[in-house]
Amino acid sequence: MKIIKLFFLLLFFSSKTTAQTNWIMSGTITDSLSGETIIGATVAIKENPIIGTASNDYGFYSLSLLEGSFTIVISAFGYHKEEVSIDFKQDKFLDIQLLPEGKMIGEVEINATRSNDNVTSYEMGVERLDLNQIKKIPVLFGEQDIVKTLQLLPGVKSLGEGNGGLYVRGGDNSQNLILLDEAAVYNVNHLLGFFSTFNSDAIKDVTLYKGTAPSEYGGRISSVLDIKMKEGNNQKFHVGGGIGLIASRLNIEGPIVKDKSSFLISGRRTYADLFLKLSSNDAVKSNKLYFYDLNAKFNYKFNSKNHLYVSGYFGRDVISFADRFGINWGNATGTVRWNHIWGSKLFSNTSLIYSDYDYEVKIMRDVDEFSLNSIIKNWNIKQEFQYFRNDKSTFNFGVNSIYHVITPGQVTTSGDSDIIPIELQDRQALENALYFSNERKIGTRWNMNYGLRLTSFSVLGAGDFYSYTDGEISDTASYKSGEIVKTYVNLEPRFNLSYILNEKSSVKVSYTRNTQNLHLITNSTSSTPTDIWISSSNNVKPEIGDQISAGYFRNFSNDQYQFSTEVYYKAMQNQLDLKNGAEIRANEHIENELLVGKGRAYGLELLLKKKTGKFTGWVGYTLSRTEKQIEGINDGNWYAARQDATHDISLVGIFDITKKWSISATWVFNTGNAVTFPSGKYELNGNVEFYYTERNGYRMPTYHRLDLGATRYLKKSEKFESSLSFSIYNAYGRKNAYTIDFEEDPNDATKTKAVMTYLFTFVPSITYNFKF
Amino acid sequence: MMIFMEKSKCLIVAFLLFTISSCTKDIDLNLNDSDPQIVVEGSITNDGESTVIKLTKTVNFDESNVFPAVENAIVSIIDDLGNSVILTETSPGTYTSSLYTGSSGRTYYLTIEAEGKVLTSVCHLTTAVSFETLTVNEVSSSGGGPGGGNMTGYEVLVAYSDPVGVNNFYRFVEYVNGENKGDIFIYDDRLSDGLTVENSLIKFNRNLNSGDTLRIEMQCIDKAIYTYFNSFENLTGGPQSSSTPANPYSNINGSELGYFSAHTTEVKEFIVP
Repeated sequence: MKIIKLFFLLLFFSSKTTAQTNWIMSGTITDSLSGETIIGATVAIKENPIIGTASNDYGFYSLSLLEGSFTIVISAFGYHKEEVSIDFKQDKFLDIQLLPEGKMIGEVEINATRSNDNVTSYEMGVERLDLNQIKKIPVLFGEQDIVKTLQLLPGVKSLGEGNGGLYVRGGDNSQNLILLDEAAVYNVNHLLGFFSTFNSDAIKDVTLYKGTAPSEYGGRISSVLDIKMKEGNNQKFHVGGGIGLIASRLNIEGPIVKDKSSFLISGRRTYADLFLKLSSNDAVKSNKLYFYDLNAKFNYKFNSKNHLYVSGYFGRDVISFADRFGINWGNATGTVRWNHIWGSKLFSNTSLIYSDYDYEVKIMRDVDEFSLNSIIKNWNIKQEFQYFRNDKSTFNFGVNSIYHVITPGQVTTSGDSDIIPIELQDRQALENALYFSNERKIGTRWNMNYGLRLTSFSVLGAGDFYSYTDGEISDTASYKSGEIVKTYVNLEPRFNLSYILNEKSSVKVSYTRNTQNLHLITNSTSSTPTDIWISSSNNVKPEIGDQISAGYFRNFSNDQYQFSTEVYYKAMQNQLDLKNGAEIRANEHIENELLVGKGRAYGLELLLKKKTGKFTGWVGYTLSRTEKQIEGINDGNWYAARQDATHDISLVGIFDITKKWSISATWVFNTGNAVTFPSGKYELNGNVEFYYTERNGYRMPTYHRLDLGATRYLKKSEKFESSLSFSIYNAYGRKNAYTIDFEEDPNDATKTKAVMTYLFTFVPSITYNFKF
Repeated sequence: MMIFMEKSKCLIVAFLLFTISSCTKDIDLNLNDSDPQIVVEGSITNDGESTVIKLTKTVNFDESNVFPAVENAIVSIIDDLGNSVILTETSPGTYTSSLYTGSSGRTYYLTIEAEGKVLTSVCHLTTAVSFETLTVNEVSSSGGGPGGGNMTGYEVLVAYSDPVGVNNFYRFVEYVNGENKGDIFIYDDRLSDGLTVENSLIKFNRNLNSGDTLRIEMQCIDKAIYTYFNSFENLTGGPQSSSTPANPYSNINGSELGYFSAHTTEVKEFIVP
């Protein structure tokens, strides 16, 4: 209770300081061609550039000004600058439209808008992807992929080929809060990680917080990946799409009521399985292997103060072998949002959100016929406010309540199966959060953002809850529906501070604490669709992550080059791992199979970026260490986590040569992942077996790869645009180890040898894209 | 059944790999040396056969597959009724007794003194469950697997009636012409308590020739032994194993490797026509 009082006191105290009598200019900033709202557009005063603000996630801005005549400059990355002269005598409501670059006749598409926001802003450890750039970066099979693009940034890595996971600053894959229009996405992998669930056609904005995320975000300890879907063009109908080697995409958007309402429907499906149909073998013909994604969004602007958004995502993977075995999994999300502007300073957003993830494994062989499924879902209500107090201070505050239901596993059988059906009890939990943050400029040199997030996580009945002593059940407690089994309360401070040395350079520090009450349990080293989520409980404590980071930011050549270096240290408590060989599926005593420990990660990141001009791209380098210490593993000693890679380099270059051609290349290099190899062998039951002495004591071979891409614009007019994209994945055919196995040497049965499996060497692809 | 699920991931990966094509290549790794460890392989059974404890040692990865025997050890067993025996070393590293055999309901305590170390283990010999039927079917085109249709071979089904209300653990060992094929087939009754169960001993390339003798041994095992083989299967690698490899959970105190199993045994044979 004391904490809550303190919280309100802070909020009250901060907003009590007297305001000057200013006039307020506010409104929404949109794209003049599509009507899409623009996030993060800067609104500044030409006469006094220190005064300024930026549009929020819904394009809304509010700026306090003293009486007088000013020229307002509105700019955003990828848009032409707009200037408006205004004589301030009263509050002014002004919606602004910006024209995208490259859309004027005869204009070559070159990002020209430069800014030093990266230097002056309090933000650090934040990466915003330029979606136009994603289209040009070469990828496997030509499938544009935001997750794969994020992996090219310092501090972000994958576990190698075909692993769609995001490992951010040493955190695990499951410790990223991944939001699609505010709805949590539990599994971002298609086809076991070769592709991600995000169809970039439908995506408007991608922001990754590697360090301190604003206090409105919470629930995962590693990072926040906030993805926002496009709203749909409210000016004109457009149909776009692409035909690729393994998948096709189709995207339809347009106005329902011009200027007021629009929709977007975007779909993607792979068709690799269609080739199976060509097989002469009936068994092969009946195999299935595909995935699809469907994104849809609708919005309606009632008036300049009220705006409604409805969006949803549905995606699924299906794999099955003839009539024997099948597995399918997928996410579904739905978000309804209502923006309301109270006066000219207070912006409110109310969201109702649903999301779920489920998987099903089926065995279709008469006596063993059964299916196993598992579901995690949540209903989420969120009320947030943004108070633009003056040009120096903005407050964010809100409440959030999430009801989680986890169905850990159900085994259902049919027919003459000799399996007993199992239905594990659902687990329910209520997660509440109260948060506030204040973004503030102090003088001309200091920018800061500080905030607090108070969370409570209550595990609710109905259900039987077990206690374990020495691996055996020592007590069982039954709770009725709605009864509280256990509540965890945590206070999460967030803090960002930047000190501007000069127009070109700044230093920044930040600190964040995050807690996580949903834990992914996996018994393999890579993520699989059948990993299961469990909640904190009487046995499982919340994971706690603390991260402190510091950085130096410097721009060169009139902001054409942006350089940054950051160092971080992250400490993670209550990290979970499984006992060796534990059964995770449909196991009601899964909590008895857990091992608990801690983790730590630290590193240095360097990034040099060129965002504007004909040639764009970046060079990133990360030096890092990620370790775990878990009772029961490696004799309780610290060991390198699998995602630990000492050196990691990425190079990305895109060159827009002419109006017709653009070429690109990426090169990645990293130390091999930490891995466990045998340090001896022995004989058992007549077979040679391996003896392991140290967890993750070895390294996979160094990984490096060059990908090349080229885009040829075939036609570009008001009515029709089309292009062909070519790419070559792993252009110099590096044989990167996917797995390493140990086996008897076929040439000498008394010896044992190591054999590595590698996947893609030199994979060309071609994609045709169109829009009309 | 659960075994099948463990293999499901392999299947998916295998299928994917097949679809997108993969290659393999020998690789030279510089693996560390390790201090030799004693490996225990011991069993005591209810069928009147000799009790055998085999002691060997580990070697470094790059050495030949010649595993030194642990000689001159003192190996003794005592049961919960106080009957005890000191086993005799009948060949280097192999300690046996033909008179001291197991019986259901007894708990056996093993003590090994070798090379200055003392290793101990405990195992309970459970009540026998009858091995009801062994069915072997030739599957000419089981279809569906990687490559489609090349999953030919033999399907082996074993049936038994699980006793209701008790936790039972089973292990099946497959011998072809007397040779242990090394596959691990273990089952618990988590999803089949009290039922008549027919399990398929799943193996992807079971190639048998006409005239081969397929011998299947059914063992009713202790929970610790189930845990050992379960962790063994999940952890010791093998193609496309996805877990982090580790040593299995041994029931030997004083060594990380090997096991001491007291179990019932029943055998059925099939001659491939």
